Amino acid sequence: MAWNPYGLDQVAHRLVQRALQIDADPEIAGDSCLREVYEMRESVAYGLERFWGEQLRHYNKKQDKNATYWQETWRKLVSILDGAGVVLPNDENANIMAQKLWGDIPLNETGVRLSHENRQVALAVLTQLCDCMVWWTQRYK
Amino acid sequence: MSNADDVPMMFRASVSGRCQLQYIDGNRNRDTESDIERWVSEWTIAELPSQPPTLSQHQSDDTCFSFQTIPYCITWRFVSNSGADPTIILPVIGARGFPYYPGSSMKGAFRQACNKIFPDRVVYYCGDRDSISPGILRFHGGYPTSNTWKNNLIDLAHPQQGWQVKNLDTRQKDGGAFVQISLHQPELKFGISSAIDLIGAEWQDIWQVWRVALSNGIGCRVSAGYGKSTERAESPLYKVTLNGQGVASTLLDSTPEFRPNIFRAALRGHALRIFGGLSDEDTAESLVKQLFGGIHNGTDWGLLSIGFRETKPFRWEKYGRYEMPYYEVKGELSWLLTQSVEDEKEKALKSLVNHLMQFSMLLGGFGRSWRRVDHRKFYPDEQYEKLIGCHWTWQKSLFLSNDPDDQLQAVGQVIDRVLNVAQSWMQRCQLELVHDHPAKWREAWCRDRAQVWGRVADDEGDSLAIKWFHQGYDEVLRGRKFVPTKQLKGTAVAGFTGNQDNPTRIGRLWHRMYPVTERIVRADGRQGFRQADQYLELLTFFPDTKGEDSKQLTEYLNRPKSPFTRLW
Repeated sequence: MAWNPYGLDQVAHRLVQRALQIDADPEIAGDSCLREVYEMRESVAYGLERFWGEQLRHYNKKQDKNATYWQETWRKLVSILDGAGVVLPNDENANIMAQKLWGDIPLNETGVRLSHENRQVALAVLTQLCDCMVWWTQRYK
Repeated sequence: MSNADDVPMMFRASVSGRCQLQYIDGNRNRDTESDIERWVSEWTIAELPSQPPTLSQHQSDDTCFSFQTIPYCITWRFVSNSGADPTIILPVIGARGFPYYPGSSMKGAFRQACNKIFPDRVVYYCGDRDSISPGILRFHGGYPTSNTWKNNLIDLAHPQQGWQVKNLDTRQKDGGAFVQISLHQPELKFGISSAIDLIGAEWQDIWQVWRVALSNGIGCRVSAGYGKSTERAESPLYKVTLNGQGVASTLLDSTPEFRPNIFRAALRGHALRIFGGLSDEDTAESLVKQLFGGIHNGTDWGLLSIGFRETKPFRWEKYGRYEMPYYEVKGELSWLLTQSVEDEKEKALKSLVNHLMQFSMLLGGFGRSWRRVDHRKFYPDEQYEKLIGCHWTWQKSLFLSNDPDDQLQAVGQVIDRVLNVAQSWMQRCQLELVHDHPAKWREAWCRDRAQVWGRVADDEGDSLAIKWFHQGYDEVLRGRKFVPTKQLKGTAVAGFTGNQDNPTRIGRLWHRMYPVTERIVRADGRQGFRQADQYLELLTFFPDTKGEDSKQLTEYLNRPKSPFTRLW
């Protein structure tokens, strides 16, 4: 297996820049989302489902800026892991997401379920991604 | 193999159907567990050692000069927000699942108290950032001393200010129950160590500072009475002993609890009514926020905080078909300043709190069903399905004369004094009185919206209005019997407990039996007070100009032969 640069730090940098764009966008409702990354880093400790669910919680509270930021971060995580051959779900329904994330139902039509090892991999990558985002956020604060 | 339904609450998405800790379904089936109940049982079900290891292993070292621990009891509830879930206040949870009070918070509270009593030692004890000098003390935090912290963790709050004071139509009720996790009457053992050996007297001083911090309150929500120790507050702004009885608040699992935040809620509500009668909505809101704290147009730290020390512990018994808890309690209520203010302001604040307490004691009550007298006490003949009302007394006299009729006539003056004090507080805050635009609230306290009526009742059984609520009023002779012709029960004036189709309405009448007090001179020559058999039966009425029931009652009260006279 050859060395593969996943470019987590660059992804994190782009996400933080996106946060600045989201904050500047008058079309998106809610309070500034730049500092949300500290919440993100903290919620990693509670696992993938809790992290994914935050976007819905923010939408329900009409904090669209925050919700967008969490959602885009999740999407990036999905695409990073996709590059490594790990499928992460990204459904809109909370119950389906929970069942997919905890391996109760297959991730897609191939019938593959998310394994415990892949959950651990995803969490490790997410932790590192958030650490990088915290680093970039501090540069822009 | 995992299963999404087996995943602990803490690891689930904070959305409906997965985990919503803060959401309590009012119509929930008692058989189904709410998310927060499940969260708590997941937390507490683990077998824990009876004491956290960190402080107990040093227990034998208590005589040691460099490390001491002392346990203190918290009178009501204690909460220290960990921020683990942004939707709800959850305690800081440490190793092995123990809730604890962090040492860093302890240092903050200690420093604040030290600033008050030994300002010259703050740097010595706590260090100084500017001169980069460390303090001699290290704060180890506080840990519960037994596993009783697991009881009654779920703490409910029902903010009702909008509903009780403002809403013109009380069928609309906004908000709902809010839930948080707090420890109920825990005993916490606090640890402090010193980098150098200290003599015993020095340690006494250090713990004295900590006791002051405890009497000010530790953790969060201290202004509502959380985190206060059983230690007496040294110099409260206002202090009084109160006796109360009535319908107890209950927790989610129906356990009754005495909640000292009822005093704050009552005074806050009355302050809002009174300022709302003297000025517009925004001014009234900001004045109240300045006093009690709040989040109207930005968050504010209020000037006042309460503490309640039970001197006769909260007792209760089940009553009636619904087994409602009926309580009796006696305790010392104190109002404390949360920050230092200049002397003149402190004096004005003291007077304001004093008069708001008088208003509250004279016309209303505290806690559940505060608008009604305790029906069990004043109308004991009926077998009640549900308990109604409360009764609060104190050993104070608001009046100069011992004559009940004079006292009745002086009620208006007591109310006027409250208004005067409130006005001067507004002037102190450099706010103009807006007499022609009082707040558009149902219970704004102004002449054309609030009326106070009264009579002298000979004894406990002689309450007229309580009969009106049950049987009706305006009796006429039919045959040989007096028969009431008008009804209060179920009307918008009396209010009622409703259901989904016909929601609960808050009445427009407060009914209070205020005990007549006599000034006496005790054998030792000191002045005291004695409660007489008579009562001032007081009705506070906020008539609805459009409502037929209000018109009928106004017309009846205004008749020349009306049993009540208008006092304000």
